[in-house]
Amino acid sequence: MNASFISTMSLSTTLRSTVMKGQVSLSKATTEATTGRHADMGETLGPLTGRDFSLRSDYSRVSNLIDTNAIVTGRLDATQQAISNLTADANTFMQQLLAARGTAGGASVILPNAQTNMASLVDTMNTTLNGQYLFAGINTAVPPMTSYPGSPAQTAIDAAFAALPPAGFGFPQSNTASVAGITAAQMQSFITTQLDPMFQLPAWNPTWSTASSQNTTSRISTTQTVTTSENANAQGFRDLAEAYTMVLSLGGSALGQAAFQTVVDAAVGKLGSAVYNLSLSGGQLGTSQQQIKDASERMAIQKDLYNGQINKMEAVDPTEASVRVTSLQSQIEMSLSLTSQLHKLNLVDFL
Amino acid sequence: MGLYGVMRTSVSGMSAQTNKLSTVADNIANVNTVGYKRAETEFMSLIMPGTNGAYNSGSVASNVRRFITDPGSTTFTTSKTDLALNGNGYFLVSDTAGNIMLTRAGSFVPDANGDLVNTAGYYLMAAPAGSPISGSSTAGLVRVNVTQMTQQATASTTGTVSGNLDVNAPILAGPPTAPAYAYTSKSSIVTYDYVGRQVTLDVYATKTGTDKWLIQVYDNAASTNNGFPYSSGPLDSNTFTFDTTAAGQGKLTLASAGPPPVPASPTSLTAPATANAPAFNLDLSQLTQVNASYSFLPKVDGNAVSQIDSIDIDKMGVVSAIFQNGTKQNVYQIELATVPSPDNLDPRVGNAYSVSLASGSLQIGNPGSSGLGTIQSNALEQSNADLGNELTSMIEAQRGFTANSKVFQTGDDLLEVLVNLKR
Amino acid sequence: MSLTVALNTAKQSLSANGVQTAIVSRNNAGANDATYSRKSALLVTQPGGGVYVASIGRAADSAVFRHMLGANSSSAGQSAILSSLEKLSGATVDDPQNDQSVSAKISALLSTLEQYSASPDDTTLAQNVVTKALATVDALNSDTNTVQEMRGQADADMATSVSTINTLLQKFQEVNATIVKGTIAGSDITDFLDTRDGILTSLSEQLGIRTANGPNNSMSIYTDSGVTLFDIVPRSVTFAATQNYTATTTGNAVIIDGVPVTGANAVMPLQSGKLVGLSTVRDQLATTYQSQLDEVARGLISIFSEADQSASALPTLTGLFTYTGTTIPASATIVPGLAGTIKVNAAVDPAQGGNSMRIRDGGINGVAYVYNTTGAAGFTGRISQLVNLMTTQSSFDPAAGASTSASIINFATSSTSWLEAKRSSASADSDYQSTLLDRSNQALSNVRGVNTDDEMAKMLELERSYSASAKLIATVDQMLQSLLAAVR
Repeated sequence: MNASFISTMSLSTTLRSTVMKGQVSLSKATTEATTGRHADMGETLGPLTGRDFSLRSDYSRVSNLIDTNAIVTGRLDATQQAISNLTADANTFMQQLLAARGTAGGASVILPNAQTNMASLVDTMNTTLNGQYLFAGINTAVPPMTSYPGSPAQTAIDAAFAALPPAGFGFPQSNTASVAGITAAQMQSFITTQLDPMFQLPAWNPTWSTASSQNTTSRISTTQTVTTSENANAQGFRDLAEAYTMVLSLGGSALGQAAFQTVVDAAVGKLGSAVYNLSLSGGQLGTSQQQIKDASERMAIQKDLYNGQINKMEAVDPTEASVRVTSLQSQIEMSLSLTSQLHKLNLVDFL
Repeated sequence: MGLYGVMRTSVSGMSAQTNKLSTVADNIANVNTVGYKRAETEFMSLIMPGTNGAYNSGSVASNVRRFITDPGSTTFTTSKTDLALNGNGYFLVSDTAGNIMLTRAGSFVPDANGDLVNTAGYYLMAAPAGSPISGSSTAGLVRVNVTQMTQQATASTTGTVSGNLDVNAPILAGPPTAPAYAYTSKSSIVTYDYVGRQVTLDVYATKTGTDKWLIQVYDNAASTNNGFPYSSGPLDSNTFTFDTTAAGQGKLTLASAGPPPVPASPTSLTAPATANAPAFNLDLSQLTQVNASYSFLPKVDGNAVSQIDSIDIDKMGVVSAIFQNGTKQNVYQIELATVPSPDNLDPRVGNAYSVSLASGSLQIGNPGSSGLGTIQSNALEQSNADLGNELTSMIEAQRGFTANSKVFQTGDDLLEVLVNLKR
Repeated sequence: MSLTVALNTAKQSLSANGVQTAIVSRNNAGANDATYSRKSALLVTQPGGGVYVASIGRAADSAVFRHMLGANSSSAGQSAILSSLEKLSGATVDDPQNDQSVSAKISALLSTLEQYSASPDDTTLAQNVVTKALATVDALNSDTNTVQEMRGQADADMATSVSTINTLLQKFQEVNATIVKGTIAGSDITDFLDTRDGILTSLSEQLGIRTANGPNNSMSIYTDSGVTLFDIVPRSVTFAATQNYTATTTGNAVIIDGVPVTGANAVMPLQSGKLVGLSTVRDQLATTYQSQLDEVARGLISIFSEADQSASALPTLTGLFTYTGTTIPASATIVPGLAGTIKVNAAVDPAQGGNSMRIRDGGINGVAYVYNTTGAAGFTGRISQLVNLMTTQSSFDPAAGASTSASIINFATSSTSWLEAKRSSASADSDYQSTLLDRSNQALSNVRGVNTDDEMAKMLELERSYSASAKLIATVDQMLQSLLAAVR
C-alpha cells in the first residue's frame, strides 16, 4: 500500500533518542572541558587504567623519594660541616702543638686548647638533626659520646696510667714529682702498649662511644641505597680523640721536656692520621651526597616524565572538548527545533 | 350482454385490484421481514363469447404469484448464528410438532434449551457430523443444539517431532547416570491419557558417538524435579544414527547394502501402553543433525476434556464447537434442501414453505452441492419486497380500482337513464 | 436494482464505514504504544449486495519481530553486566585521581614505608605506615563486601527475573488459548496478537527465546538453547535464591524444565538475556574480581610475613597484615575470601594496644622474630627488606585472571586494568546492542506502527464515503417521499 512508510512513533523516538544521546554526550563534554580530564577515566582507558594507576603510583613514589632525599641531604650536609669543623680544629691544634713543643711550659699553654677541642669533638659527635644523633650509626636514639672529664674513658686512662709497671707508671698523674721523672722511652712505650689499644675497636666501644659501627643507609631512588652517615667509631674520630687525650691525660704540664716532646710527637702523628682519615670519611659522604644529588635530579626528570605520561593518558584537549560542547549544543538545538517543526507537521492541523 | 355485463366486469376488475392491493399491503408490511418472499397479483382476462357486432365484456381473474426463488439482498449482522444462503437452497426447519419445512429466514438464536430457533419459532435441523443426509428423506435430522456439547478426551497415540540435534555437541560417555547425569539436550512433550489428563514425557538426547545419539523417553511423573533422577527407567530408548554424507545430509541413516553394509537408524520411540493410556508413538524421522543449534518441535495428537466456548458455522454448513482449551470439533452438518419448483411451495406462517404436490419432492444435500449454495454466517437475507415497487403497484391498483368504479358508475348511470325512460 | 436494495447497500456501506472508522480510531489510540500493530479492515464485496468487513488485518513482520526479540535479549544481558561493572568500578576504583582503589592504597603504603625508611626512628612515620596499612585493609574488606553484595543483588535479581518469567508464561498461556480459539472462531484476535507479542518482548528481555508457530496461530516458546519454555502448558522455571553471599558461596542455577541453564554446570546454557547477564556477573565477573582481591590480600600477608631470626627453625608467621590464622598461605594459590578477613595485626596497631615500631624492628610474633636485635633506632634493614619485597615480582594464581608474575602494586593495577577493560568493552557492547535494539525497534515500528497522518487521510476518505452513503439514503428517502406524495 505504501512504498515507504514511517510510523509516527519511530519519527518521534528517533529525534527523542538523538536529543537524549546528545545530552549525555554534552554532560560528558562539559565535564571534560572544565576539568581537562576524561569524564569517565576507567571507561575511556579500559585496559590501560592499570598503567595509569602504575604511573600515578610511580609518580607519587618518586616525589616522595625526592622529598626524603632532601632530608637525607640535609643530614649529610650537617655531617660534612661537622667533619670539616673537626678537621680545621685538628689543623690548628697541630700548629699549636708544634709551637709548644720546643717551648718550656708549652704543655700548660696548649692544655686549655686540648680541653676545648676535646669538648668540641664530643659536642660534634653528639650533633642531632631532627632528634637523630648524626654520628650514632644506626643507634640514632642514643648520644654516642659523653663529656670527657669524668667520663669512663678518662677513668680508664687514669687507671692505666696509675697501673704498676711494666704496664703503667705505678703512680697517678696528680703525683707531679713522679710524673716529672717519666722518661721519653717510658712514655713512648706507654703510648704504644697501653694507650693505642684503648683507641682501637672494639676497646673503643663502649668506653668512648656507644655509637653503632653500622652506618644508616637510605633509599635514594626506587633501586639505589647508599650509606648516609658517618659514625663516631670511625678512625678519624678515634685518632682525634687519642691525640687530645695524650695532651690532656698523660701528665700534662708536669712532664719533663723529653717526655712532653714524645707525647707531642705522638699527638701530632695521630692528628695527621686523623686529618687524613676525616678527609676519607668526608670523601665517602661526598660520594653519597653526589649520588643523592644525581638520583634526585634523575628522579625530577622521571617525575616530569610520569606527569607528562599521566597527562597524556588522562587529559583531554580542553579546546577540543569545548568545541565539542558547542557542536553538541547546536546539534541538540537542531533536534529540538526539528521536533517542534515535526509536531507542527500534523495533518490534523490542516483539517 | 349489455349494461349488467359491464357492471359485472367492473366489479370483477375492482375485486382483482383489491386483491392486488392486498398483496401490496402484505409486501409493504413485510418489507423488513427476514426471508420474506414478496407476492404479486397477476391478472388474467376472461372473455365472454360474443357475436359479430356485439361485445360481451368478460371479467378479470387474479392470480397470486410468490417470488420464492427471487433472492433478497444480504445484510450483515453481528450474530454468528444469523445465517444467509448464497444460492438456491433452503434451510430445513421444523415446528414443535416436528413437521419439516423449508425457509430462507436464517435469524437463528439458541432457545432456553440451546436449540437454534428462528424468529418464527422454527428449529434449525441438521445432520449430526459424520452422517450427512441426502435424497428426499428427512429421517435422521436433529435440532442444532449449541450449548450441550462437551468434548470427549482423546488419548494421544502419535507425536511427530521436527527438529535438529547439534552436530558440534561434545561426545558424552553414554546414558545419563548418577551422579552427574550428563546428557546433551532435553525437551518435554505434553500428551493426554484416556481421561484427558496431561502426561508429560521428558525426552533426553545424549550424543554418545560421532553421529550417534541415544534418545530416551522418561515419564515426567517419575521425577520430583522435572529431571534426573527418575524413580523408574526410561519408557523407551534407542540409539539413532545420522548420515552426514552427501546421501543423507544430516538425516537419519537409511539402510545401505554397502560395502560396508550400514543398518538403518531407528525412526521412532514408543512409550508402552498403560492401563490409563494407549501406547504413544513418537515419530522422530524428521530429526536432523546439522550445524545448527538444538531444536525440538513436537506435534502431538489427543486432547483434554473441555467445555464449549463458542460455536462456528462455516461456508459448507459445518457447525463446530470451539472448546475452552482451544480445540475445535465438528458437531453438525447443516443440510440444505430444494424442490424442483420452489415457487410452487406451499407458504406457511413465518416465511416457511412446505412441500406441495406442485413443488415436487424434497432434494436434500450438503451446502455447496448441486446449486444449493453456501451458507454465510453473520448475515441475513432481507425481504425481496421493494418499497418503491410496491408503492407504484399500490398507485396502479388504486387507479385501476378508481377506473373500474368509474365504469361501474357509468353503467349504473346508464341503467338509471334506462329506468327513467319509463315514466 | 430496486430502491430497497440501494438503501440496503448504503446501509451496509455505513456499517462497514463504521468498522473502518473504529479501526482508524483504534490505530490513532495505539500510535504511541510500542507493542501496538496497525490494523486494517479487510473488505469483501458481496455480489449484488454491497460490502462487508470480512476480517481485521494486522501489519506484522515476523522476521523483523524476531530480530527485535534477539536484540532485546542481547541488550538486556549486556546492560545488566554493564550496570554491575559500573557499580563495581565506581565503588572500588573510581577516578584514578581520587586514590581510593586498592592499588592506590598499596602505593601509598609503599611511599609511606619509604619515607619511614629515611627516618626510621620517627614514631609519627611508623604510625603513618599503620594508618596506610589500615586504609589498605579497609579498602580490601569493603571491596570484598561490595563484590559479595553485588553477587547477592544479582542473585536476587535473578529470582525476580525467574518470577517474572513464570508470570509471563502464565499470561502467555491464557493469551495463546484465546488466540487459538479466536482464530478457529474467526473473531478479531489482532489485539491479542499484540498482547502476545508484548509478552514475548517482555520475556525476551529476561532470557533469549525462540518461537515456533503451531496450527491456528498457536505458539510454542523455547529458550535460545532449545529448552522448552512453553508448549501447550508452561514448563517450570525454578531458581533457589541464596540470601547471603561470601567468597566461597556458589549461587544456584536457574532450572527450566529440569535442565540447568545458567552457571558452570549448565547443560543447555542460555545465550542471551538479563538472566545470562546477571549470572555472568554473579558467577564469573564478581568471583574473578574477588579472586584478584584475595590474591592482593595474600600477597600483602606474605610480603609482610616475619621469618624466624633466632635460627631455631620457627615457622614464618604473619606480620603487619594478618587474617584469621597466622600461617602464610601457599604462594600463587587463591585463598577464597582472604580479602574479607585480612586485618592489621593488633600487635602493630597502637589503637589496639600494639607498637607501630614493630614495623621497623620486627618481633610481632615474639622475640624470636625480632630483626633489630640491637634495638637501634636507625635500623632500616627490615624496612628496606619490606620495600624491596613490595617492589619485587612474585607469583600469583593464574585463575585470578590478572598478572601471574608481578609486584604487588602491579598486580593490583592489573586487577584494575582487568575490571576497567571489562567495563570499557561492556560499555561499548552495550552501546552497540542498544543501538541495534533501537534500530530493530524502529524497523519494527515502521513495519507495524501507526502513522497518524496516514490514518487522518484514511479518515478523510471514510468521511467522504460516509457522506456519500448518507446522501444516497437521503436521496432514496426523497424518492420514496415523492412516491408517497403521489398516493392520494
